[in-house]
Amino acid sequence: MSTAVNDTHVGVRTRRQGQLGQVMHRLRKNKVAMLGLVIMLLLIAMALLSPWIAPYNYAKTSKADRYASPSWQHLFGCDAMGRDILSRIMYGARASLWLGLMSTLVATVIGVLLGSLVGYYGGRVDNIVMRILDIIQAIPGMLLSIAISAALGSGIGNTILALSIGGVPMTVRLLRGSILTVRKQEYIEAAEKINCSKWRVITAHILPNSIAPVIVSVTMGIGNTILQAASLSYIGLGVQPPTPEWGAMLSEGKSMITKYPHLCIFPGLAIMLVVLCLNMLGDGLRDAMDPKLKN
Amino acid sequence: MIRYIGKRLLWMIPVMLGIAVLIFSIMYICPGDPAQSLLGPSASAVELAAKREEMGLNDPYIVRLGRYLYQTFIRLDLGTSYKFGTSVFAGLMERMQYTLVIALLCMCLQVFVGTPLGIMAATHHNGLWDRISMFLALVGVSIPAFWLALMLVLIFAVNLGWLPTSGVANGIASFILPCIANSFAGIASQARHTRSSMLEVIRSDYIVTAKAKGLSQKTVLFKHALPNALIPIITIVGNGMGMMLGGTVIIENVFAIPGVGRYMTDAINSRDYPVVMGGVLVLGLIFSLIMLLVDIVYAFVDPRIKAQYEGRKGKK
Amino acid sequence: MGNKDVLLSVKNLTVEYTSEGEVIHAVNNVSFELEKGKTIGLVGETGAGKTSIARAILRILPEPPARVPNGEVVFEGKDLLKIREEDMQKIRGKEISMIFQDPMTALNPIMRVGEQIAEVIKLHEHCSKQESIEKAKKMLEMVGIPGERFYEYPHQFSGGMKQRVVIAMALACSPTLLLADEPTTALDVTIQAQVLDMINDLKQKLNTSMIMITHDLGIVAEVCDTVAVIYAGEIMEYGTKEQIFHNPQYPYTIGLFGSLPDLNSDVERLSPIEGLPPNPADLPRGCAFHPRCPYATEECQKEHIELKDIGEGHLCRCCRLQEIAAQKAKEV
Repeated sequence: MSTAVNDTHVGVRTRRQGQLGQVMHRLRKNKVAMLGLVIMLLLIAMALLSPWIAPYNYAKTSKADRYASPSWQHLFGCDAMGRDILSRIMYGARASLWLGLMSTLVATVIGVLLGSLVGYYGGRVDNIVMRILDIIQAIPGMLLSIAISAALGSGIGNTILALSIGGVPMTVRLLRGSILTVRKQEYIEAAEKINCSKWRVITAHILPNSIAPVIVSVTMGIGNTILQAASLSYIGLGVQPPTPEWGAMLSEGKSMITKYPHLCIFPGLAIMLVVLCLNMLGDGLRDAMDPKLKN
Repeated sequence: MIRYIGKRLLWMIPVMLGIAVLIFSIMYICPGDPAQSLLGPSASAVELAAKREEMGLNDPYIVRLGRYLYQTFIRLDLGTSYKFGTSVFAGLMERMQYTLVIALLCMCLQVFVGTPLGIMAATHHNGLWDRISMFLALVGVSIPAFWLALMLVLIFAVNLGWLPTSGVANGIASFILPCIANSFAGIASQARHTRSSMLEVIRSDYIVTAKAKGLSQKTVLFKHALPNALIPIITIVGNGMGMMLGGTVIIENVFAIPGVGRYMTDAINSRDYPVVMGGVLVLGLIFSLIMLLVDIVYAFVDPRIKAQYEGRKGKK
Repeated sequence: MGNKDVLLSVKNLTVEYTSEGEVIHAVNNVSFELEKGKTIGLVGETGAGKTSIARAILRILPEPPARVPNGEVVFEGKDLLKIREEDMQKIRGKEISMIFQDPMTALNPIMRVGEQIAEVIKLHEHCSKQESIEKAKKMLEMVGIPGERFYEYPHQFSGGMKQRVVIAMALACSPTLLLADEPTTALDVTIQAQVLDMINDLKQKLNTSMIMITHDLGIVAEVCDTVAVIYAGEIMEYGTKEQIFHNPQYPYTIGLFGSLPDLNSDVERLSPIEGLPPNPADLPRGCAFHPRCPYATEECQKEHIELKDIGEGHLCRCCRLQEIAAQKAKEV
């Protein structure tokens, strides 16, 4: 008997387990993605440990240090109220990461549930829900977030809500698309099976089929949401001082940018670093899950 | 074809109504009392009650919604600004030109800079040019536009003095930095999507067929691969316009450009809700018209879609 | 043998693919000749390397992952693997052309069908645009499609008709050599017969030589003059159609014939060849077929077996032919 096993001849289940291993292997080989992952983990650790590892208390004001330029005592300098920018950035990571994570999570959970319902029941429910989603998507994401955020007011909870609604339609479409594809195939077998197992067949097969694009979409989504959150804070919505959110910090420092550019440079770099790492990871995940795109 | 365009135009009506309903519903939950905001803090309780009655604020949701839709679409009245007391609609219209100019210039940058970059990256796949430009593109989609704007102002306006820091007084020069800042992410995104679309198309069977016919590399690339690769990019361009419109809100704020975006961000700070919602509504409507245009362009360009609406000829 | 008019001579052709660090040996030292006006069949399972051979001849392999580390493809006195790309472009579509396996994806979806034919005519025949359109319409008629359908798009045609367009495109410039890569595999059985007849017809009219790649022995019987049986990228058996069909020697070849259902006998189960084709990244030592061969012994695993002439140009790559024949004689 041949010792080598040919992919196409192996049963579906073994192929899927092998696929997960293959995906992880491919991801590990992608240096850029791994770099993004490592830096991301470090940033998350930094955010979580900030109360203990930040050099200063982020809220501690100091008249003497107002607008202090970067120095050995204050690596990133101080802001208008003499607060240490590095500490504020470290603490601010919590707000940004939390906003990004929660908004994307909420959008994904709602999207997956809604998409599953719509895909399973189809028909009228499908039509109505998709039309409503069309209308939500008809308004550019940023504008929708602005409108909802303006209506609800600032604060972390309200901002999470404002940011998550815009992300729901895309997730719903992803799920719905996967379900429709699988349903088309399973109908052949469904004719022979009892009705109740059709649902189990769908849930057992949808997960591997749709989990890949959802994972990629979540990773990229967190990055985009962080950008949006920062933008909202910048224009006075979203999260406002004293919470050290990076976008709000940029807004505070904007007026003195000509004299004290360090007020704006560092918070912006922080935003860029986080989003960049998430995008690097997201790209790597997408390439790992679809080898067709790699070569 | 006419049938297709007609169908899409008809579809616009419920979409526009839907957008208005959505915006109204969001406004409905806005905090604060519109009557109070209009009359000011010194108004008496009686005056407030009378004003509320006059504005119809005590009516049920459906009635207020109906009134809103009527006002918005039939009378083109988007309410009055709490701050200035002027017509929101008039305020938006007089500022629309700047916003549209910026959005259009940004779109041009996205399409005419991003697309060639993506094509070159795809044709030099895995080469040095590909790796460098794609890493730059990755950075590009990660940069917050308003921060980029501030940095550009710092470098080019403040330190080098080449370009104005704000305002629209200097003609085309005033628009250079705002457009670069607003379109940077869009150019990067366009390059990335064009590259992946090209790479996918280049791997198609019909490209091998074209090569097997003896066509030169250039012909295969530009006559067969590129047109097919650009079709899905049309949607990206349409969505990009949406991002541009959303982005101008922030960018106008940074550069003090008297457009719709600045109008809205100022209104946010002064809790002038009619202006904010009116702005979102109008920009949303413009965006859905753009998506309609995208759908129509698709039908013209992709014969498979054209055929769906042509009926008789579309039979196998 | 001396009066042969050899059109194409392939010698020691080797094709490798590199994927994720692995080297896949798709084609291993394949050699064969094709006389003018004749048809050779390359027979084997999917993945045996047949398509790679054809694409290597036409030099349309995807050059990263694929590599042709050695070999010679002599066509009308020139080694195609060594000439310049510009010269190769003059040959493709004109002297040598190819019919592809999947008609659904072989045509450019946003280009009119007639234009795709006219394109190859205008390129090679140096005529005006109008003339190329006229000629293209004539080609469509020749494959049984009304000329007015020149202006239609691929999605407006069925699979069988799309394949006919592909054939029209391949034959538009009257090529000397036609590479047909499983041209009927993706089609319905009824359409298969039509398309095959058409290919045969046109081939005879234009005196085209052909390499027919297929896994269907029925097609080989109808269309081919000589047959090469390919397994794991190597020719395992080669001979005329009569030699292979009446006297197959290589166990794999015998297995192929044995796995065909016989209309005349009453059989309950099909008798496929046991086992799976080998992994081209990790080929077995010695004879590539030994893991599945019912007659394999230790000798078969030791060294790579060479092709032996077992009479009148019938070649076979088995080292135990005489023992197997003796064994079979005993069984009877």
